[in-house]
Amino acid sequence: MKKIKRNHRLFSYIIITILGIYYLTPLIMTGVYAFGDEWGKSLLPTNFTFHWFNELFNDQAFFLSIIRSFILSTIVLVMILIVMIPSVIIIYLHYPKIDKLLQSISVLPYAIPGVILVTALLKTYSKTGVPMFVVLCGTLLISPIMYMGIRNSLQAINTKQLIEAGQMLGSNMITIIFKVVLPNLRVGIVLSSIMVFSGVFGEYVLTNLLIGGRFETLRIYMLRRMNENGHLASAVMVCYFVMIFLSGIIIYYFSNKQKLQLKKIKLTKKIKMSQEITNSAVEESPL
Amino acid sequence: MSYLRLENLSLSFDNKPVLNDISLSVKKGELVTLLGPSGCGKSTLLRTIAGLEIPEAGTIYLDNVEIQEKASRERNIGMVFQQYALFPTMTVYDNVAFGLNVKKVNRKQVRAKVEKILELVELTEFSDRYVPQLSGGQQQRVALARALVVEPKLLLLDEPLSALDARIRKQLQLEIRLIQKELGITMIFVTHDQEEAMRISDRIYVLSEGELKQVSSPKELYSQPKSQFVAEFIGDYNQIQLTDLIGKIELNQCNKYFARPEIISFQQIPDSIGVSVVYEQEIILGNTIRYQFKTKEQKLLFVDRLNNGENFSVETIEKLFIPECELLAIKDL
Repeated sequence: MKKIKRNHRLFSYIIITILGIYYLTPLIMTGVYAFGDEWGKSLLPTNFTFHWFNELFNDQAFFLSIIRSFILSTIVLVMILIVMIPSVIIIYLHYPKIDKLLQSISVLPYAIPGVILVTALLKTYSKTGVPMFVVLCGTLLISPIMYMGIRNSLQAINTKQLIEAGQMLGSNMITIIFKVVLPNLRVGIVLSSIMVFSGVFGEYVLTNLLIGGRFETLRIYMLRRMNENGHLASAVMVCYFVMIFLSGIIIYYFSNKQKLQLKKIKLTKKIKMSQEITNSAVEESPL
Repeated sequence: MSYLRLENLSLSFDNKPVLNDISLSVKKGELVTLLGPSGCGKSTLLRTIAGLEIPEAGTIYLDNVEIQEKASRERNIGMVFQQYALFPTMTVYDNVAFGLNVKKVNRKQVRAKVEKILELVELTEFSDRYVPQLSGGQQQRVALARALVVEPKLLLLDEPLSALDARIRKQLQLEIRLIQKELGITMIFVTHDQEEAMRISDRIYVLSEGELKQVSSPKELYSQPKSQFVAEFIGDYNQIQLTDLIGKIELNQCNKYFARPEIISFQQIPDSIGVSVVYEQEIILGNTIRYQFKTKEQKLLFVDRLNNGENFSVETIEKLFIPECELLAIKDL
């Protein structure tokens, strides 16, 4: 028995190692390439240099593209959060039929090829006077990630019964949503937010075709520079990776910070309360 | 004087009747059970009292006030759910305090009340734990405490113990009964387990297919079922075929006849009816042994005996004897 178990473990380690190498090698090699000088004669570059990063950081277009990507992702994410969370909750609770319809609609951006989507959007909106930036945001807004993410969390916590329990305890709907439902959705919302943010950050087809000429995002910038110089493109990719990684951590940190703060507040409240109790006890005591 | 009164309550889902003209009353401080198989409408009835389902017809009075138009949160009725429905992101303390905080009770009072109720359900030391860190039994105690702390006029329990293992279930049955008596609170308890219903209730309402079949004390329910459904659902009654009874007693063709498995005798006794049978097998039920026989009409007949080491030579038995006075006649509807 023990031997079988050990073999099983060995087997899974081997698979994980192979997959790890498969997925990490391109990443590491891109990193090495970004720092490499000349690379053609041996396994590793002959020289390491910061030259490419230097060049990159001296290019204003690079920073502008980051800012643009950031603005686009943030606007889309904030819009999604404001529009999606209440809608999904209301639809899930009260309109189960619409819920099924929306589940299929939300997958459409993935099902329709980007080029067709762009053509359709351009044809529909180009003469209406609606800025293409707004059209782009509106399109990116339809996100199965967010819709399904929130919906699945709602299902997982048995929201309907929690709401009923809250009602039976005399609470109104708003209190229940803010105190009971939303705290339970936190993890789902955070994960979906990170995915949406990085998804929009790296979106290429729609952005490029709709507003690419006037609004060069990081991804478009990266592809432009790739044609000029591979090393530079790798450097952009390294920066891109670090940025996505950092924004993920920041979103996670902020959502956790709220929880930590809450805990802190509670702790101080408790301390205050116990002080009050001792104070009142002191006041009440005949001494 | 009834404290809770339902009059002619009806409800249907998608044109399928779920509750059919139900009227019942509960006295103050009483523990009443709604008993029935799954799908009989007992949980729906409870949810209607809670205001979570809206009846199509009928009236609900609680403490002489008509409440069916009121929202759940205004009814001052507590509820304990089968799946507990505790708030997973809150501690035990916050779960229990939720109802009081919503009512804007001042903090000192909240603390005092929560601590008192946690002591009652013996969870004081767990007050800082989060719900997922508790066992099923502990979670159900929290749910009970959370419902009790707001001092509801009526407490509804929707199969609260069915997700727990047998030992914890029995323990909690006793505790719920004790707490109910100690606080003098009126409770309606829903269950599909007749043993559980008998163990804790003052009175039992038996439901089937959205209709009330019988209401009586646990003792009466077992000894005097008023319908074939109740007889079979509550006491595993044997139905005795008319062909086995013809010529032996005065028969009424409109009746069906039943006998409890523990009153059937292996030996001939005075004033009894003999039924020819063939022995099939014995089934051990714990403190009782159930002997299975088959009649000439190929119907099963069960006889229960205490599992106390006594041996019966059942294999050779050809006739069972049912005391005439114990034979139960129920009008066949």
